[in-house]
Amino acid sequence: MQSRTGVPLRVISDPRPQPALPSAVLGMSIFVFSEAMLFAGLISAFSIARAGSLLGWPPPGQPRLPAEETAINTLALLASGAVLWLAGRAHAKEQRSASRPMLFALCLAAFFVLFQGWEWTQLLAQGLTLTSSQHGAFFYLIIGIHALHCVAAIAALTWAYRRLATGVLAASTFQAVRVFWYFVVGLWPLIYWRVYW
Amino acid sequence: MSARLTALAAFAAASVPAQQALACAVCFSGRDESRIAYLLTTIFMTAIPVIALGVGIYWVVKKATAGDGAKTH
Repeated sequence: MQSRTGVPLRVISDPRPQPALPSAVLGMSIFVFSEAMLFAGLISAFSIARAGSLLGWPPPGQPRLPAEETAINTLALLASGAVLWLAGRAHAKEQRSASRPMLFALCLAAFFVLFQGWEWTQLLAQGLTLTSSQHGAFFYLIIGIHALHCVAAIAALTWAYRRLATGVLAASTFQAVRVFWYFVVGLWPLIYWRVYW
Repeated sequence: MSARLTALAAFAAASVPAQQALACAVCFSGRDESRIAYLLTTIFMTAIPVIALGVGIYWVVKKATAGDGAKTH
């Protein structure tokens, strides 16, 4: 290989030690940790309010949450996490092969958010609103913040997917996006168990 | 010496009604469910940062050790 001036170029390997954790992944991990504490606080507040409720839970006059239907949605979200994990493995071997599983994971993630939107319209029609009771307030706050994280993660995954399609997706960037999605997926079973049951 | 004894006696005297101080206006509840919820959520909120830091440190050390091992071969 030669430079424009005709001087042969030498490939010099970087003598500096490589970090154990790429900066993008470290940054995302710190963000995920702070978000984990946010959800821990919300779930703790919900648990205390629920335990202190003298009239039972859900309070009289408030609808029961559709736990069975949401179980299907939970499976879809867990499946998207598993498929994205497969996409990560495929990306490590050959970048382009991650494209299809990544798209499938995105579709499952979109299904989760859309299903939840439909569920909210049903609950609103049954009288469960943000101001109808503590039950409604906690439900929309916790599930809503989780849904917001889902939408943000889907946006990040879509951005990563487009970069993958053009062949400019760095492994560390993809890893950071995956860490965020794993957090969203991993958190959901805990929320589902505490809020829906 | 007498000052120390006086301080100790004052401390002992102050400790007698300390049981009442456990009834914190914020987190005390007459219901067992509430008290258990407070206890469990306190453990939960305390454990998360400790576990997260532990896992993070373990992971970085493991990765760094694997890197050193790869260099020596």
